[in-house]
Amino acid sequence: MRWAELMKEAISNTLEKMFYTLVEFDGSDEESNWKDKKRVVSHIKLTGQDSMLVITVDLLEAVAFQIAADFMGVVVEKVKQEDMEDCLKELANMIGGYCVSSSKGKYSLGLPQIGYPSETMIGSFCWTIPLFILGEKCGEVTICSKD
Amino acid sequence: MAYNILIVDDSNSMRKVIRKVLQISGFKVGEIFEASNGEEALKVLNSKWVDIILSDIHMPVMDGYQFLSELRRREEFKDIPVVLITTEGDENKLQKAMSMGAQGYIRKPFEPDQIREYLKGIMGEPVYAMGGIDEGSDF
Repeated sequence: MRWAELMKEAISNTLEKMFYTLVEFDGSDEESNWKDKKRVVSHIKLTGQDSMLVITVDLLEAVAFQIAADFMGVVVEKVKQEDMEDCLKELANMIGGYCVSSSKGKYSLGLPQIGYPSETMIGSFCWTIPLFILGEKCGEVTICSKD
Repeated sequence: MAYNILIVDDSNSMRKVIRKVLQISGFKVGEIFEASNGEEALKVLNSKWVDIILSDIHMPVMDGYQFLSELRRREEFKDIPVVLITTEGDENKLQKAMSMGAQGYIRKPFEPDQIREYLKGIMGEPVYAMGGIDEGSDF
């Protein structure tokens, strides 16, 4: 299975099952200025014997807070910044775990972090999957593979 | 008999979710303790009576494998059932954890019923249906 398809499966499965969020991958972001809005990013590294994958989750902050609220079963006003970041790390962690499982153990899961990866991913192959909720673009998940 | 349960996970929000699942599980749950890694969990075990441990694998400081190994090495903790709740996707590593004495594992993302099924194997039948009584939450 290609990484992009695998990632879509991992994202849907994780967001629906654990975060009670229905996400779509098709839509138009022409009128959306989502990149200008406040966003939050997490990433996780998957290390293989001779290659590395980095999964980056980039979400609108408002959406990240809502997802955290749904995950924890509380109203969004009660979600603290650290809880939201914690949930975003868990999201990257679960997507990463799904990929490790599908790669039959070819990669080892690292610990999720907030922010972009420190390594340069120049020379890597990347696939970006846009995320839409109710037709509105709310973020992207990118997977980069580097030998 | 009410069972004391220790949740070991480096994610604070995940610990809260598991705590909530336990509170509505229908089982007689006594005290619920929390630790963010294996080292903290050992400190809890040194001072509290724990009947069941629900532990993550990927954690900083002391991960789930090291924690499991330490538990099985120590006479006073070696018989406490441990169920792993983890994102670990490598089947070989999970089998290694089972051979180290884990009672079972649940992959994240999970559904509350999966935790309940494992607890049933350890605690017997629940005393009421899941979601029937909400003993409150500290959210």
